[in-house]
Amino acid sequence: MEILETFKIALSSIKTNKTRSSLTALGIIIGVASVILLVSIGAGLKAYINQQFEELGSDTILISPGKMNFENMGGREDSFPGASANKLTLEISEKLEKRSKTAESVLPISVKSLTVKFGRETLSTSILGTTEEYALIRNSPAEKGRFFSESEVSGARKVVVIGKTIQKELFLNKDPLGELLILSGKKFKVIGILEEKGSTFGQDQDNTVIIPITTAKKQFDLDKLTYIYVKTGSIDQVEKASKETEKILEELVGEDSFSIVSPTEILTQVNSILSTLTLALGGIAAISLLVGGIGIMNIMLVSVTERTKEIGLRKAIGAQPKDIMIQFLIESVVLSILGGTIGILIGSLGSAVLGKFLTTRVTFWSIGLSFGVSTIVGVVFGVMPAAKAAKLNPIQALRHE
Amino acid sequence: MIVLELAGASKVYNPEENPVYALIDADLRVKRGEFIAIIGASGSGKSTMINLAGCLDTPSSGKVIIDGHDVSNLSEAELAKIRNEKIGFIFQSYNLIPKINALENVSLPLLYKGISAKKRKQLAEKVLNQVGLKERASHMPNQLSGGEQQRVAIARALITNPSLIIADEPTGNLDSKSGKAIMKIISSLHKKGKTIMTVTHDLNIAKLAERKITLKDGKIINGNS
Repeated sequence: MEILETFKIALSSIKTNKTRSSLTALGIIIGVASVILLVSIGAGLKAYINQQFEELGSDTILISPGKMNFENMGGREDSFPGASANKLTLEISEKLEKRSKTAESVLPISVKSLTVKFGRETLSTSILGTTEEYALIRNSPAEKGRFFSESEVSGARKVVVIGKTIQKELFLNKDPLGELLILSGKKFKVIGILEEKGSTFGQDQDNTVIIPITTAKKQFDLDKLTYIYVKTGSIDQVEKASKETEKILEELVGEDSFSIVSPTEILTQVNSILSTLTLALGGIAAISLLVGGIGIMNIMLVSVTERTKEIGLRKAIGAQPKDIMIQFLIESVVLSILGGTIGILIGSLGSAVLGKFLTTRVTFWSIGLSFGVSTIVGVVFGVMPAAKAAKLNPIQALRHE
Repeated sequence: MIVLELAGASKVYNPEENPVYALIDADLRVKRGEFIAIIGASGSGKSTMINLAGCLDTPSSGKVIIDGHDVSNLSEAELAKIRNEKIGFIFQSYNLIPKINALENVSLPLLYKGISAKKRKQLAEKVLNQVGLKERASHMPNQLSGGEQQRVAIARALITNPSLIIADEPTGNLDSKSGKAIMKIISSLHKKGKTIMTVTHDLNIAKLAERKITLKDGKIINGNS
């Protein structure tokens, strides 16, 4: 018997029981839609984080003071930035730059929270002390005015480059260039405004002021560094640079006084966590797909019982057991594929709607997977009822009322 | 030419624990073109006999031979093929599939024979015409009277041009008028040379048959040849 004919029989039987068929398919629809939706949220989150990391620069490595145990994320054993155990200073950073062969440039950074004041407006912000190379490495050139120069760094001049938020809050969007900004009671000349960066991981990147690191040391006693960025120039150099830097710093400050992480390394870790998360979300959603499959099996068993007499007749006039088997199997597969397709549409639609509020990404694999899984669900949960139908004894089936 | 032969055919249900001897050592030969009626009280083994003759079941011992083929030990799939090619069934309760129309019901056996849709339709129209229901082809079973439904069922039994037509109480669910019309059709089929085996309580039908086989307690008590 032709497969096309079997499809026709299955479709006509699905059509005769419209309400029942749609309710059965609903189980699969909900399962598939939630798989698509949850996986799209997971994938969206991953894409968002990856993009954020890319902004940090994937060819850089980051040195922070103290030993950080990466296995227990954030579990520092002793020192904190600025604590006495912090052995990373501007001097160390300069020595590192001199000795390193792989580093394109080495960028010392020290960060401190304080209040800035202009006129009657005050704002608490973080100051960032660094060198003129910061503008090149961190892709934050001055949008207006200019970044400070090498001579201003070496001369420890009291100049400041401000973020957008500072301009908005303190200068009320007026032109701040040339004005005097008061940082913890000390006057600094505004020479530039940073390009707007938005927020990363929920933190306002524009609520910051940048001053020469030498000035920071002189005016605020900021001798200790919060970070040292090492730019390698290419992603392939990261590992090599990381090893070399480690060796140099071990000699300079001792092995327990610093930690090296590369964004790529963090990214790999974060990605593996996110993949597990996505998988877990998908797995939870897949349980509802399983429930949907049980719904199909249930309804197919009812259908087989209801149509026992029809099965008996078909057998009497020459249907082979395999013909009956295929007929019912196709019916359940058509039901589940129908549900799967509608579920994919609803899931993608839902993800598009949700995409207005957070990053979602409908992945090709989640569509392929849920389509495949719903087909398999149709086969797996259809086999038992279909086999039951195929095994019916024609004499008893015909006698069934 | 012998269409059906039962040679010492017996059927025992539940042989291990509580054996029920439904048919005992039955011998029967049905020649081509013959019209035989099987009669007997309920529980006498009539149903078992036509189940064996119709290849719906296999004997516990003895042989069933259809058109010279021994079908006693065939698998379910092989039996299905024999039923499809050699047997036409007419049931008491018509057994039409409710969600497909008369024409599709009639052509159903050809579906399992692997005949193309176009050919199926042609043949189904032809046999529907033979039972006088040409203009009812697109009606659904529930739009047809009992007599009409049974005529559709007869057309379905005829479509494969089977060697043997088995009619199990064909008028049992019908009023006497429709019943007579059905009997007329069956008798005309016989005149055209079809081999017919019927089970009936209706003595009028039994009268039409050339030969009556009476069963009692699983044994043929007369009419054997």
